[in-house]
Amino acid sequence: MINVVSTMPSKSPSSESIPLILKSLPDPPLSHPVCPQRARRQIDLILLAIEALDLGGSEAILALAKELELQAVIKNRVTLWQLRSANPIRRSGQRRSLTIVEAKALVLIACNMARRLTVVIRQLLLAHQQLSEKQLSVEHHFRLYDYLQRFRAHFRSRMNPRRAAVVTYYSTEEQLNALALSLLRQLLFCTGTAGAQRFWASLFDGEVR
Amino acid sequence: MTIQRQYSLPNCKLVLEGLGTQEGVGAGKVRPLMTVLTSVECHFAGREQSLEGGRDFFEELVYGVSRYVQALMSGIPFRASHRDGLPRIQFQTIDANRHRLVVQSQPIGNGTSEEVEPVQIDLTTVQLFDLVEAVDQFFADAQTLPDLSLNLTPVPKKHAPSRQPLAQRTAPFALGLSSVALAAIALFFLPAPEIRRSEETRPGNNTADSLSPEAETTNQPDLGALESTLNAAPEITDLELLRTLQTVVYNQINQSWESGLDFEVDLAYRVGVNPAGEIVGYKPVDQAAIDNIQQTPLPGLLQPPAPAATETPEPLAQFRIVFEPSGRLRVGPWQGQAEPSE
Repeated sequence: MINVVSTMPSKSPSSESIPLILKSLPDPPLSHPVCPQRARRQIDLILLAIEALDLGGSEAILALAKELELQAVIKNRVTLWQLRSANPIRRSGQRRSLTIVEAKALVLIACNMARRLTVVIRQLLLAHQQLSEKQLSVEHHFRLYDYLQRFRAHFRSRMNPRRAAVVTYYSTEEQLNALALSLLRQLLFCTGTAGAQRFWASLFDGEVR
Repeated sequence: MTIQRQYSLPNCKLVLEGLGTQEGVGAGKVRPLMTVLTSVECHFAGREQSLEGGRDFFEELVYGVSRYVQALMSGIPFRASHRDGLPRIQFQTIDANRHRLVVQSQPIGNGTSEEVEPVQIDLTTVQLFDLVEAVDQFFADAQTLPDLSLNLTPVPKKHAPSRQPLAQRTAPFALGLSSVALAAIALFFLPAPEIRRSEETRPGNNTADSLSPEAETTNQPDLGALESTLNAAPEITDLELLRTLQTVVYNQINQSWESGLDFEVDLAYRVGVNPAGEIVGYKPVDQAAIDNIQQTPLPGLLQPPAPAATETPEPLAQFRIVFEPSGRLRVGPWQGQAEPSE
């Protein structure tokens, strides 16, 4: 496994050209102005959950970047993939860090997408709640089953099966289902009026001075 | 003047009563500013009894639920500083989908100050969300108690419990082995990892139908023009970019390839990808590839360059992409291979 910091020229815009919308998220007081590991992982996994919910997910993410005028940060498909590869448990051989500006852009996109999927997210969580109460398995709800299946497939194809974290916490079907449901609950909170601010603050719990 | 404000969600309703000022009400429609809270009621769907209290109760409720939700989202519990005794409002996690709200000393109605049983309300995650959303709508309302504002700050390191083994085991960043990096570059020209498409059944009833309408609406690509695009373009030589594009195009095709598999031989194509990761041209390598093109996602993914752009063709990465009847997708560099003899 390769742990090499990308030496490509920095793509983050200078302070004058930071899109205004990113200012809605405050800069966390970190000792180094880069995104910590847990945050990088969490952002990628939330986007993964969105893609598992919505077939058109990855294209919608790019379209939304344009709509929110974030192309300075997320230029195209390649950039998006590079930013998401900052997740330490990904398979990709390239390792790079994620700047705070890049993280903010991804969080805003994720929360916007979550808002558009509010109805589905609530439906699936209600379905899971009802199935649990009746002690029925997830196969009894097609859409929920489909989401879990698609999430597991995406996770397995993109994450590095040799990382210790993956081996211990994210390898069995049961564990991946639990992760998928946990992300679905987080997505619910992302849909709220203060969803982006809440998600953003939670990413840095335990990381700031 | 007494003012009432309500924030309603399907499972939760907050009703605030208070006093306000007449300032700014002048020309009609501006809502009066509520500056003093006299009482608040919190109703949950399916429960007759509501939670009630004054300003102190309200502050504890809104900040308490806010911190609890943040802890749920991060997985990092919040250790409150206990000023004097138990906080009046507490949230406890019973399980992933049950959150217990415990309220000490709810009034019974006649204002007695006797000790009363704490009230316990179990909320599902969706009900909890409706509560915090009602609270957030209140915070967003600039005309109601503007001195109370949403104050989200991450839990500092020193207040978070010591890290779990997971975080410690997630390998530290360093140990960038430059020799491994060099080997990786040298190994670039090996074909990409082959990932077997999942065997799970798809909702297959619509895929066959959905492909044909798409083919009819998009113009049939002119294969001759596509081939000249591939031949005319300069090649991308940056190894790092090539490696990136190989993965990007693999993912793109893999995610879009949802059709039923109705062909019997490998379908191979020469595909040109621009530095933005877009497929700008492709050429089937043989008759079978031509005949079955609609079973691949390539026509739908094609983003031909604008006519003006063909004046100075952008550099392209060229790949050989193979769709196997087993559902396996292979992507590798195109090295000027002639028609395959297989």
